[in-house]
Amino acid sequence: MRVFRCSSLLGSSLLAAIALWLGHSLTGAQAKVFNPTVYTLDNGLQVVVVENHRVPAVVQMLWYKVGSADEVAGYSGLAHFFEHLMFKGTEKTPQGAFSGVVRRNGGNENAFTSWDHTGYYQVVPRAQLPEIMAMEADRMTGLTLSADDIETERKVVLEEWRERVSQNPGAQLGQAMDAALYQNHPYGRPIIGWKREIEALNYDTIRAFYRQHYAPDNAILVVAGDVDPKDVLQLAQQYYGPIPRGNVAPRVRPQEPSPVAARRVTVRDERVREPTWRRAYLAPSQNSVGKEHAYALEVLAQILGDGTVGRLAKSMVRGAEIAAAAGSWYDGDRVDDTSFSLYVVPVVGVPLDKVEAAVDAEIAKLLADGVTDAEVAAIVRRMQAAAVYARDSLQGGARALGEALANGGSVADVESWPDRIAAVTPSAVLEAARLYLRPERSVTGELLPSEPAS
Amino acid sequence: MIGRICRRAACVVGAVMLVLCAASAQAQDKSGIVEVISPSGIKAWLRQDSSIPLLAIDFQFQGGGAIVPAEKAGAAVLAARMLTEGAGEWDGEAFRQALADNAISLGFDAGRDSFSGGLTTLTVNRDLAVRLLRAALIAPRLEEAALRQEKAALVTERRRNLTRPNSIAFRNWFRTAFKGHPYSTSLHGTPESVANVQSGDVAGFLQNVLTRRGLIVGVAGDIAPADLAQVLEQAFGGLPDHAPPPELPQAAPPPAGMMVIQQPSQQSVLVFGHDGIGRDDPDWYAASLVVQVLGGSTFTSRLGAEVREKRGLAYGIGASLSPYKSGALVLGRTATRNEAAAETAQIIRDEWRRLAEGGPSADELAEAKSYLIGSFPLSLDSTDAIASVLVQMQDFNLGRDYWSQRADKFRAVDLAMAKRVANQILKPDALLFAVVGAPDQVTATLPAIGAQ
Repeated sequence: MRVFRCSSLLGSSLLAAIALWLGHSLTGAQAKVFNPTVYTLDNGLQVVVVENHRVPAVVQMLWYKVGSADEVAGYSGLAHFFEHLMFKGTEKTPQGAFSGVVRRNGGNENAFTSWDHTGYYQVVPRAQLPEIMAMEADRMTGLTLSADDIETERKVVLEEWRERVSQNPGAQLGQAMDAALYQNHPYGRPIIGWKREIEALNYDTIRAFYRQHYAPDNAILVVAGDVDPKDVLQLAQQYYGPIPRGNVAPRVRPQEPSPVAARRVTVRDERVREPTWRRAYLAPSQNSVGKEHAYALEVLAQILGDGTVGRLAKSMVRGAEIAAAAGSWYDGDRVDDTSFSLYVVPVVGVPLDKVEAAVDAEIAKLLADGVTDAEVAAIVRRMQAAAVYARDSLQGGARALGEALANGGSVADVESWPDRIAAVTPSAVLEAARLYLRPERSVTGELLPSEPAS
Repeated sequence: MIGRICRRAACVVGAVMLVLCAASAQAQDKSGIVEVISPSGIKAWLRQDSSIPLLAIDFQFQGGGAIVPAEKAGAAVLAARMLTEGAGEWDGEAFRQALADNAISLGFDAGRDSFSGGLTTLTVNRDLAVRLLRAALIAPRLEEAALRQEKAALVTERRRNLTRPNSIAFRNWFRTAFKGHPYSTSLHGTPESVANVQSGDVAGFLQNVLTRRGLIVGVAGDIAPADLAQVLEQAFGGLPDHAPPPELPQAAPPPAGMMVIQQPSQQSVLVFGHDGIGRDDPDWYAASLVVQVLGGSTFTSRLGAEVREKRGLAYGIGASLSPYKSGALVLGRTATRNEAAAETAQIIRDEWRRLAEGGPSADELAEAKSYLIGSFPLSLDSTDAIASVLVQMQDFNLGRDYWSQRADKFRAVDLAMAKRVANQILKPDALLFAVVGAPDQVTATLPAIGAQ
């Protein structure tokens, strides 16, 4: 079943978090491969063009610098709910007409909401670019939302919540861990929102959110494919150029205090047959204070947590045979402080305390002995190979650049990514590990079966 | 270009390749797909593209999980995983490390009908990648310790799946639909059947399916035909040449009815469908269009419009053709709140009947055509995707001119034909439902096998 209009919500599940991490390593590695053409319109819209002439197709992605972490407390889920409503039509383009153009041309479309951004994209034959650009520009300010639209879509969003959260104890653990990890920052709220707050979002709040955040000076247009950058810039000027600036206020969010307490959360659910163990450490992102450690943390995530050859997999899956899977990932592409995370799926019958002891032993060894030159060199080589693979799709470059720009980074950050990864040294990895893999920065999560009735 | 390749082939491989190369040059149509044959006769379809220095080799053997006895179910999946757990000169750790350090992706997978694999590598690491592939195919170590780990991991996975509503729904649907047929067995097995698998079962399965006969290869990316001929020889030339496992008997159509599997939950998962149409059926293209209209898109299909867009009953709904070789299906899925499960099931039945009886409208048919025609070229945007399509084309005997012929096959479906086929393939009274959750007012008419 196809996931619709919401791919980044995947962040709420363990599996998707792994996917996110995988995507991320490709993300940066595209540097110096895409050589994007960059332009800013007078109204503030950033335009990024990536040429890829292998298929006569084009992807348009419009990224807004607004995500769930920009919601006001009490209105969680608003950014994501609004993403759904962006498909409800405008005066010029009635509901379904935009999707109709995409489908009649064999294209596909979707949208996604994350903590820091909301994005909309369409893949179409290159000849359709002007048409879909006109429609995407039109709905930046032209939505005609009725109360009925909102009520029908609220039902859809609640079904999505049931499917992703209520049916999935692992997702509930993820939400509980986020809520514990971020004691002050809105990253502690789920992207899809708390159910009771989704139920209460009203028409006026929704319209106000639209006016406040959907404007050219809060957006990035990325076009990738079989196009000439000059033509794209001209089209962007024509369709997006006339939209007035929104003078969107800069993001000001509550930041995390220095954590002092190791935390532990446990979710018990009768549907859980096999326990899962997870841990998250508060860590800087590529854009927050401490960002100079971001590259070392990326390398560390792979040395420790690569699913097949990482240290955890070697010692716990292959060596001691206590885990079916074990790994780590670092979610560096955020605006504010983020997490460095570990997970273990124990083999049947192995208790979580044994799992946790094994992970802690690996971390203690890491903090005592650091990592080797050979380990770092292998990761650097692998990440540079990823740069070649990353060119092998239409959307890869568009996603990498759009995400970086939407989350407070720059094209230059993406461009220099392989060099910065290559500059990571074993001592930098050890320093980052000692700074951030500390108990007081951590939340340990356990997913367990219900306790037997007493 | 071709001339240069032929000269080089003549130098390197000899006269055989000269002939083949000439044949390839003649046979190349505008899609750029050529057939390459190795000196000993391993065939592959190639679409060369040297704009990015990487290549993908996809391949498939005849015979999959359905040839494994039920009490050993999961053996085919374990076999797939064991092939990258040490082979030839590499022990398990060395094998995994060689793949990781050189950014080579090599993996195997078992389907119901086939056993497949894929290799993706940077051109610069091609020789090593092909040596690893060869070792995996002809000299897998299949060590006891590795099998124990893989079994433990798969048992853990299967136990986790026992309570997942989607897994429960599909498991019940398939077991009931294909009762008495090998398709009824879970491909990944149960915790018990996986525990039953011994190394002899894995080795036996591999001996059965890994044969040059029934092998299909599709290659895309940065490799010249002459080089590919050598690579094919090196990768697959050491395989035996016995007959592949025989095809399975055709399954009887699934029974109609409603199964309910009670589970504490706020939402009910619905899996629904009945027998379908084979990929080689002359009505395949018409049927694809009809099912596209029924359930191809969550936004614009009839099911999507009625269930999601008008009533907000589900986040996603879809139905599609599943052309399993010995039991083709039309199969769909959705999930809705428990109170709306009965209503949703009724809408599905009603829409099924409305399309069966009235067929698509001219507009709907035109829209489905333009989508299915246009989406194909757009989907071929990566090397892996192209290699995979080249395997499917051969698997379904579609011919190398399929890329250029495909659109015409859809265009040839007129409204009368679409109506006839809709009436023939959509059978509202034959629908088999598996509903998992705590649905209100849904009455079971067939026994379920339950969560396990």
